[in-house]
Amino acid sequence: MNAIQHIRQRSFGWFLALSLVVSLVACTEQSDPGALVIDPKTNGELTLEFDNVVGGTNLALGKATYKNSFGEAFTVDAFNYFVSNVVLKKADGTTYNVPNSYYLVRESLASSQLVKLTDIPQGDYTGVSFVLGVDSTKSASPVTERIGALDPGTYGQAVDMYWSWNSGYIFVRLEGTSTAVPADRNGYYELHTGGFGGMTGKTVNNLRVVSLTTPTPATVRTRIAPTIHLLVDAGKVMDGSTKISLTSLYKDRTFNGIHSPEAAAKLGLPDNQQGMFMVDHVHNDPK
Amino acid sequence: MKRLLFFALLLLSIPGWACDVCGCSGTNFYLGVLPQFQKHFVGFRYRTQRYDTFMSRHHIDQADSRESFQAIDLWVRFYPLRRVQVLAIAPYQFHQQTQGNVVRRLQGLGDATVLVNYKLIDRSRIRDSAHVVKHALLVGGGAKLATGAHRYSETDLSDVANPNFQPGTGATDLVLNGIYTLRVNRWGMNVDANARITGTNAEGYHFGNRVNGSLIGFYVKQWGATAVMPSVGLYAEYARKDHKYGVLIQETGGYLAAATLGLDAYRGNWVVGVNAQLPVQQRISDGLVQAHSRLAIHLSRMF
Repeated sequence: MNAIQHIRQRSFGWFLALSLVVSLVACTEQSDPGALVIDPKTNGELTLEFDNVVGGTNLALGKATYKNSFGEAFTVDAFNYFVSNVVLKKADGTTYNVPNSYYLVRESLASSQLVKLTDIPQGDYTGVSFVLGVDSTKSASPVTERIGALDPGTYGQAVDMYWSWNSGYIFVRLEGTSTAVPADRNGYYELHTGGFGGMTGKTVNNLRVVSLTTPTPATVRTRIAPTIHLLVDAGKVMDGSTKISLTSLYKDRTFNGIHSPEAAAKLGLPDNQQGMFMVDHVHNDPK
Repeated sequence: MKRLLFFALLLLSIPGWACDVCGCSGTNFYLGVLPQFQKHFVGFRYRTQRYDTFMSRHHIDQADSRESFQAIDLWVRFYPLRRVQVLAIAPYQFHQQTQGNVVRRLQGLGDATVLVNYKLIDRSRIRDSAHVVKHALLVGGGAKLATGAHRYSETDLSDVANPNFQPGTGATDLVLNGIYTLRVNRWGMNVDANARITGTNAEGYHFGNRVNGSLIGFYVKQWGATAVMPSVGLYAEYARKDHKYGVLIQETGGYLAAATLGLDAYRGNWVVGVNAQLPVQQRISDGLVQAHSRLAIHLSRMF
């Protein structure tokens, strides 16, 4: 074997070794290009994950004690809200309205925190918006058309999220114990927000639209079913643009919690709750 | 596919609820120091690994699940030829996942690994009456076979619907490895590196390629037929991210660096040893998985 052949063989060995190292550790990791091709003929899935937190920590019902901006300690014993009229926005600015989208998210029911949207056109979605609450048209529709999450009947899913024919659904329900609430009110606070405008008599309209953008696109494909992971900060109910003190709220001995659209609006709850939502991250996981 | 799970009491109402990040593939291949490199041996090894899994970075105050991977390995080393070493390991895996009050268990034969190493260097010389210097370099490769079961149901809630939780990966992997051992008198060092080029299983799942390596120093103290060998060193592993049907799974892969401590005792042809890996730096599954210390105990008979 001559010297050049020898060098060639050695180089080939080194090349092999080097390519092995490169294939193992180098470059950014990504999906195969074939898996990213948009098929306009088949629709896909996208999940909205409502991950309820208080400040920086995971919400633990009844167990953990949190503090509001006034330093008042409180627990969260119930945290439920309605999400409706979901609109997905593509990177090119076009939108897709998810038909008949009404969801009731409960901290006590893990399955309700995953809202799976099916039959979604494939594409790259960079934004999501929804109504926090149940829109006026649906709220005013015959009760026979309000089924599933919207069923206010005795055995319906929305039984504890409905006031009356006129006031309608409770959009956001937050309650729990607090040392700031006097013992004659059982040390229990209740902040219930609703109000779609009223069926028979006019009420205040507390519906709010939440619009969010995603840090990275959610790529709906044949084999990719993304999850948009939202963080919903229950602490913002008291600590939004309006800071709420339970001590001053419950100072009046006749006060028994927020239970009407007008009271919720006066306290600034709808705007506070509009600011509860943020997108933490997007998973573009395979189906 | 990513699923959130911490209210375990409500589990039964959740269809198809899975988790993608739990733990690492249980089929981690690690040898540790295996001195007496001329001899055949047969032995058993018990090893355990534990992980905490967080479904979100905002859950860092409470793990959403805890996984424990235990295995009993039957391992064999023999020399069919003077310079050719064959190493075979067959694990039996015991996996457990705890989510709140719900405990799921899985056990079964894991993926066996067969390696054939060639002794590129095998020298021992006595420099003078005071110094014994020995060193050996083995390079080789083999396969991690798909002998372990890899089946789970996304809808059966008694299953942990996670590829990482299965006894096997369902794929055959190519394994490459190198071991260098140097011994000067009673002191020694062992360097080893191991790479796995992974295959794709029948479900279209492809575990990321992975490498691991260790650098270990040891000392041998001998009294007649009895010897003890304490060792200390560093271990590191790195895994590329997994893919399913070509789609990258973000919360997989990662690295771990650990300090290792070991103690082996020899008497006659018997060896008993314990080895611990104490993580010092890690980022597994995008930081959503936290590895705890790992422990291995082995008992081997040399021939």
